Amino acid sequence: MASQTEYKKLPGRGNRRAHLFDLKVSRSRLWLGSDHLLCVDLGMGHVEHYKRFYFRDIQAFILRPTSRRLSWNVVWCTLAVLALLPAIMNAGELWFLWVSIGTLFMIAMMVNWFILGPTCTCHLRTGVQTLELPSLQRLRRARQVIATLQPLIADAQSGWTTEPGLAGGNSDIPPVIGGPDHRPATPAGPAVSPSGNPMF
Amino acid sequence: MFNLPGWSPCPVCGTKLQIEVFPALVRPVAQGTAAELQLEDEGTVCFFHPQKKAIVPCDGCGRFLCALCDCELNGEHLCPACLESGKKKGQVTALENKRTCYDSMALTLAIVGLLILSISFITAPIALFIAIRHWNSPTSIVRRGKARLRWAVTLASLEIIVLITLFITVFK
Repeated sequence: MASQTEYKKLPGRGNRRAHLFDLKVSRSRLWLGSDHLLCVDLGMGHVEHYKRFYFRDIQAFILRPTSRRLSWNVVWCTLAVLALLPAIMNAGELWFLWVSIGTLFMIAMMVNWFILGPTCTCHLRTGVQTLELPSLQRLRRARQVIATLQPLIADAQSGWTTEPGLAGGNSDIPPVIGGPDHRPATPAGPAVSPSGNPMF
Repeated sequence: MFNLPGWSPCPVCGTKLQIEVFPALVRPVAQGTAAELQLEDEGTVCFFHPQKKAIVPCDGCGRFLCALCDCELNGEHLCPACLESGKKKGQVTALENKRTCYDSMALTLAIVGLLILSISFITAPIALFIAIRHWNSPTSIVRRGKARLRWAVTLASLEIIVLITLFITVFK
């Protein structure tokens, strides 16, 4: 009755919290199973919480750009300048060295935030929920993970679109990028549902 | 705006979005199957509902199940009792939504004791106890093996040996 699944680690990690000052933080990672995506949240007390998203149930990934990188770079830049000011004013003192180390640390953090690339939020949508994936907070990484998952999901759901009459014959959904019948993206107007209403 | 390689504005609010959609978005909701009534005395009937026709045996206990009692999970057909007991005993991994990682807990305690020697006389025995007590407990679903437990036992044992040696040296 027991079934063991081998998991492969997907890139990215992040913290899940309800709001900025929430003390109940859990570290989140994504793992790739044979037929599902596993979201592991490591909470307080070394308790892991699992959420499984079977490829056949995943409806969409939604990416939205955020300004986290800019905000943090402003914070680090301000701190670096503040740390550097007294050091310049009191050049020659012994603590100048320590302040310089602090400034260098802040500059290193700025460079780190800059190198890691633009930030985003990634949501995964299924038939019953829309969940944020905190491990995909970097755009480059999010796109990399989605590109890894796309062929697997497309393969798991490959039989459905070919059946006639599915969802009232809806053929407005373009093929998945990287999927078997992917066509190049063309500039398109707002997506419209079969009833004529804009989707999302 | 779906499945485009770059950002595209939301038609309603204008927010930049990139949406990758899959056929499941337009899949119709699957309909459940009603259990058939057993009209004649012949034939197999459900173990839990003797008036209903059995359609499949349980892969866990072998009882005959009607369409109502048949719980399909990863290609296996299970009765509600097997499903419940499998979940409680942790036999059905696909149903587990939480695990306590005792190996990480023991290793953390051992490392904390190593870093702060003044509290290691508390943390090292606890780490050793947790590691031995939960040696056979299941670890994380994604990270198998006993490497963390071995490290925890090694570090905690070393700390205890060092503490005993210090104690003997000081009070000799």
